Amino acid sequence: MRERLGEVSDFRDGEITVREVGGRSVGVFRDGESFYGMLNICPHRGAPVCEGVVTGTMLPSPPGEYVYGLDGLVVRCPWHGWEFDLRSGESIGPVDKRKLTMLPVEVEGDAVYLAPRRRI
Amino acid sequence: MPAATATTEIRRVDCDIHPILRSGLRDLAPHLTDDWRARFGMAKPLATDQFGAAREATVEMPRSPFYFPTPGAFRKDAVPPDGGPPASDPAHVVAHHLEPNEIDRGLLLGQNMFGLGAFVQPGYATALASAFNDWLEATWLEADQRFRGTIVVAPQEPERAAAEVRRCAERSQAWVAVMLPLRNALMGEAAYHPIYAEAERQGIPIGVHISGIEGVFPSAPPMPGGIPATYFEVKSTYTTVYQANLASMVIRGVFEQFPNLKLVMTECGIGWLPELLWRMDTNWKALRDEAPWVKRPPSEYVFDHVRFTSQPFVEPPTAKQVRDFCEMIQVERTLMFASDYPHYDFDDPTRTLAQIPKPARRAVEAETALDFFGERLRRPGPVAAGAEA
Repeated sequence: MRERLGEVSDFRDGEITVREVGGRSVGVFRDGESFYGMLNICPHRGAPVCEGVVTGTMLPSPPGEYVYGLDGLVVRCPWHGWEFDLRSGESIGPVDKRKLTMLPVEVEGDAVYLAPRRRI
Repeated sequence: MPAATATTEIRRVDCDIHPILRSGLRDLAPHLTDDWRARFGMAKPLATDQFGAAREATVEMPRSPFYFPTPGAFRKDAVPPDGGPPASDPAHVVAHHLEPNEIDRGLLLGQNMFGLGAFVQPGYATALASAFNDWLEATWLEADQRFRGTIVVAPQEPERAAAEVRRCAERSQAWVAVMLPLRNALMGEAAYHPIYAEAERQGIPIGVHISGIEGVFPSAPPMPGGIPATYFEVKSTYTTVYQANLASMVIRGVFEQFPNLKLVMTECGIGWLPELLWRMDTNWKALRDEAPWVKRPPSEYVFDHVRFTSQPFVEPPTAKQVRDFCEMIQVERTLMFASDYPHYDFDDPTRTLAQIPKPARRAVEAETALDFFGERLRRPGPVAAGAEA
């Protein structure tokens, strides 16, 4: 059974909105017309990862050079600073094989739904 | 000396033997130009000290006036029969160490040059390094085919240091590594890069060894936190300097910039290695955006590029702790036997190797070194062929 999370306009672009759904804390990241859902639990030490800063990061580069990218697509966990790509849940680098637990979010008309959980 | 053949099995390699100048830096006089002999007060008329007495030389290697081991720096049984400092006679080192301990290859690290990086006259350091290398080749490398040299360079003049690496490595196959005395700059700094580039080009590792001058001069690598009062403290903590240098190289991307560079840390400690590897790997996960060129877990760069010598081997309270430690550092990949002959804290090969878990023992005894130093270590020689400039 899917859960209605709200109207599209309830979700600010470029931010993670945290909702309680069935006793779980869930984050919904809006990137323009795309929505990404995830458990608000960091796979590293269980921090409320969705309360972290949404930012960009330095992309792999030659020694001494900095190349900034993924602006607005990365969450930096508020506890230990691990970075995750908000679209895939993968750690940046990747520095670790653990990922955010992504949840399917569907938009229908003006409504945003958390779809029944399946492995994605 | 009977010539060994290429197929002679090399069963035991000692990665840290210290040849000692018999009469100090004055032994280098024949390998210096007239101008440098004059500058160093090695030419007649000899320079005089402030009391008018003749001096053998007016140049001294920077060394510690504070820290001396109570047992003395050397094994008391290592003095050559005709006198002189321990390990000042190649034939005696062969008879007293290589033969009885069944050492098939011995790397020579010039202890007299350990303080070179602290010289505040860059040109002095460069001149002494070249003279020392020529002395080592003529006096030791040509004396026994089991000896191998490490090329001393002066980090104060990195381009000339690179040229010195090239000069020696291309002249003789008996040089198997660079011996890099450190300045007060961490090894990740760009000032060392020309030396790394040439070592990589020649296919020989960069080596570092404790110097005994850490923290003693402003131009030497500083000690952390402050100034130790005793040799006991220094001996227990100088290893921190080399932790910092290893982290510097990995995190500043030296092994990304020089993907074939190899590093050997000699007598720099090994017990700290698990902690440093774990810390770097943990910190990489949070802090990678500060060093985005670090593309793999930092520990992987260490396992792929860096080797450590065994002496002084760890002495935890139980044998189990030694085995656990060996597992933590992947001893079969990372560790190479070294004795530190003729120093007082010498490690006997038989006793040391017996503590290594059996499946890794051959690796520590010889195989890792043979793989790491490659053909230059493996091949017979250097006597005669190719030894001429």
